[in-house]
Amino acid sequence: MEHSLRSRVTKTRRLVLIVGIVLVLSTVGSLIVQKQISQTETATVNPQPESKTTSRLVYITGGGASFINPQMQAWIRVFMEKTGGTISINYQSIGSGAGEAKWLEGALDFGASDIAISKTGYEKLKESGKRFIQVPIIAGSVALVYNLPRFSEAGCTLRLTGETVADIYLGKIIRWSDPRIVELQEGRCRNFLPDAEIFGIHRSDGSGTTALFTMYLSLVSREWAERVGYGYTVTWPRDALGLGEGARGNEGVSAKVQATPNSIGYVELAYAVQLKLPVAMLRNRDGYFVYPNATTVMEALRAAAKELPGPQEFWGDLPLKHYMNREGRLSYPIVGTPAVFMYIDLPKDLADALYEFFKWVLTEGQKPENIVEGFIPLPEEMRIKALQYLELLKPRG
Amino acid sequence: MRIRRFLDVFTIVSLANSILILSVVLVSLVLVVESLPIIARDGLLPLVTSIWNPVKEEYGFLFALGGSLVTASLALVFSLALSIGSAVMYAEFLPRRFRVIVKNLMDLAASIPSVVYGLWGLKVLSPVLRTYIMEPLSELGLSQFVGRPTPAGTSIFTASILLAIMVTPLASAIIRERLLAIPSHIREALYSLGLTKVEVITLELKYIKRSILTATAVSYGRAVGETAAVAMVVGNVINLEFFKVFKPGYTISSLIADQYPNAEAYYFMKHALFYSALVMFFVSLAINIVLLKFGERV
Amino acid sequence: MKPLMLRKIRSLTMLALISTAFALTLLPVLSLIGTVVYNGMSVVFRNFPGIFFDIPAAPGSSEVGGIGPHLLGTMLLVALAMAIGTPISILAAVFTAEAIKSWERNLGRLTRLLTHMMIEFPTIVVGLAVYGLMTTLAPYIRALIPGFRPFSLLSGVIALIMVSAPYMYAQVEDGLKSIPQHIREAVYSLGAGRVLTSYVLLRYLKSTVYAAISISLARMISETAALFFTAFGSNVYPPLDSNLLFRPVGSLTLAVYTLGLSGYENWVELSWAASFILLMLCLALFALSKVVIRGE
Repeated sequence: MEHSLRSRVTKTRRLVLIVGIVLVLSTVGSLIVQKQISQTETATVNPQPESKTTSRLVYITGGGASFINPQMQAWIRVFMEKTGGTISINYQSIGSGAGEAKWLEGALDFGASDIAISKTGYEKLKESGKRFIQVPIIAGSVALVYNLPRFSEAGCTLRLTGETVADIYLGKIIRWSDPRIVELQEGRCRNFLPDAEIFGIHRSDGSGTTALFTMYLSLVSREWAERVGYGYTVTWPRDALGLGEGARGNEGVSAKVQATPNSIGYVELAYAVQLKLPVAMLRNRDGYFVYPNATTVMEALRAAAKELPGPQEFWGDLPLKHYMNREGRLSYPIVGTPAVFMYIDLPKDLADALYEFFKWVLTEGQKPENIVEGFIPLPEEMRIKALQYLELLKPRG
Repeated sequence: MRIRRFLDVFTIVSLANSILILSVVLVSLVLVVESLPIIARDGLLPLVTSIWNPVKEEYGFLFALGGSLVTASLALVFSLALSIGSAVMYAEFLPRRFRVIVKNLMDLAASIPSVVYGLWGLKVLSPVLRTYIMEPLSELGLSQFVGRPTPAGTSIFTASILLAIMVTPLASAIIRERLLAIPSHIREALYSLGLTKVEVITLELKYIKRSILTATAVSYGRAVGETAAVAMVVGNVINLEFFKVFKPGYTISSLIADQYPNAEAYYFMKHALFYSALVMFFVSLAINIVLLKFGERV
Repeated sequence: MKPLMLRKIRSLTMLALISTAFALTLLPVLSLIGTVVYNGMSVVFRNFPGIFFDIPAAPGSSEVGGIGPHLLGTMLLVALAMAIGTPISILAAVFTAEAIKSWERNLGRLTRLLTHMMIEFPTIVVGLAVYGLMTTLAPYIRALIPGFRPFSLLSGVIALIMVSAPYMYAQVEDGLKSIPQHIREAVYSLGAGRVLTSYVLLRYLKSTVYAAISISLARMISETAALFFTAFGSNVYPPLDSNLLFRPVGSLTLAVYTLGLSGYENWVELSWAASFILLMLCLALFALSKVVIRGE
């Protein structure tokens, strides 16, 4: 008797558990659905002119470079508000290489990368015979950040040349007090450099930032080009001396530089700006020391825009050949243009939606109010060229 | 007749086993197929070299393999001590009203995403370990055996401590549940022999050896497989002396997490990463067979 | 007299060691939970209840926005994966533990060996394997479901099952095996068949089964790496139509990961909020199951 009663109680309790879970899940679920419906409703009340072209909802999946993720999310937010939810865009930062590879495999509608389509990717594309475009969408640049408390307190800014940076990471310059560094500094600042070992921090994960940075070092130092080379991941000679270490992500490098006195590291400019780290000046080709900022980065890219290859050509070492270490008093030497890749022959509604989004990105999206702090828009020359390339996406007739 | 019918139902249940087996086989198949190109090129070379130079398409992951094994083994030792201790405390000493709190706390701890553990490990655990354990010990002259910690405090040792903290709630739950499930007449019989509490506990632990083994396997598994948290505290440096645990290093899964996103821009890197996972898989297989053989005998 | 002293000293040392282990287990957990609550709660209440529905605010803005798509994604993923994964793992465990014939025993042994190995797989590899499988199958699936992509809710569910089923299986199977033989024989002697016996034994192991389910649930909710190339993540709501199963979805853990590493203050705050919500979600589910188990 007692037993059967107990088991009945258990059954009731189990029922309560199941009902409870279902209730919780369904309540929250339906609240979300409602919210979404109300969002679309408010959107249909005020339709924007852009939304006329697409009648039903298009869902776009894109992915790739993590550097542009914040800017991409900001663009998507504003764009989706403008089009009233008729186009949904989902961008995830999975890494430049993965963005390219997953796009090639057909898992993404568009891929994005810090640099252009790689050689392996380009060969696969040629093999498949598919038509595609690659379009630059924003400017990028790599900043050298450092942690020298006494030096910074004295109001000094570190000045470096490409050769000295290469020699630091090659392990040929060991100390901050090395004459090759000291002689570059302004007179009164020379005494504030510590007689301590330089701790060289770099990205441990494969990244477009490393690719840009090592491309630059290969360009300015023959020894670097021969011993190390360039790519998403390289072998760092300074690590072998016990004077270097990797960190994950721009965030990781910034945090490690912040935590480690007498260290140096490289990050995407947006992160240096965000985290307010001291940024070094680099000597450009014309011999001027320049900070990375909107003026100097755009100046460098302006010089490069003329030589941008066609959208279907192999861009490969583009930053190396055309962007970096450009002439001009104000040119910052380490710059690049993150780009997106799309196939041309797509279903019409998808092609239209992609065209509409990236056209917006290259026009409205480049205006200061839509640029996230730390990011730099494309210079006018580059932007116009990118818009031309985008036109190939528009189905004819 | 009746028995016959029930046996048939039971045969259908084997479908569940088949699904599990099939899923493991499929994952293994993907691993093998993706590893073949690099095996064809380099054979066993990547297992015994420590180079990671995609520029020249050279891949050797001994450093990560060693790092994985050292990290997981250390973590296992720490977590076994912690989980057995805390499970015994829970089952034998803790007043009933605290049990609910502790159990919920531990279940909650098991559910905290590893990323959050990683963040906590980087911001809280690493500096504490560096200042209070690693630096004093290496000052004492141990540095030639365990290496010198870096300023950030990230190291193989830090990773293994963090892993131990992460897997303890899970391992402890397995042991705890089994301790609580020991029939009370067995416990009473033991006490009636005039044994002290500690002696009873020792006997009880012997009695549940199998579950401790399961807990060991599960902890080791999670320690080897953990990605996000380890990648944040292990230091991510190609370290040939991975046995010097106060130095930063790499594990297989943190290597995969670091390198996979851009691996497909190279010809062989993706395959090298899958190969490293395959090797880890075989190491685990060996460990599991040993555990299983041992476990059956218990 | 002497042996008694020795026994006492041994007793005390053991007790001291046990208490230390207990303290060392709880301390980090408390510190961690404290950190999450401290950093997450204020953010949740800054945009309450919008944090549960909104999409993340633009990076660098003064608002935080919300993690609605990620919450929805986590719930869809976990609910589906639990619904499919739980019966599979418990049934497989029952089969392994109650096997009698030699083919049954062999199949059971193979399952045990392979699933234990599965526990050792880095979850990121499991995710990659599922992605590889779905990419291979995609052309065939597309014949049935146009627009199918490897990045989808479906892939995420499969990956989650693969990650958590081995745990549940190991725990339940282990529990069944440790039931003293005489109890099992007693049930059989009442004339019960194997199915009924297994059911009775599972009831006997109730607390182990509940523990296995709640740990599994926790594993699924907190899984990150396996979802990277399967569920993919999403910062926008997927259209809630018949294709939902075949579209990418977000997850709270993916949000913690990508937002936390972004370097933008409001996104990092949002990632703490997501951690806090994850924690509360688990707590709520546990509390619910506690209410049910209590008194038994």
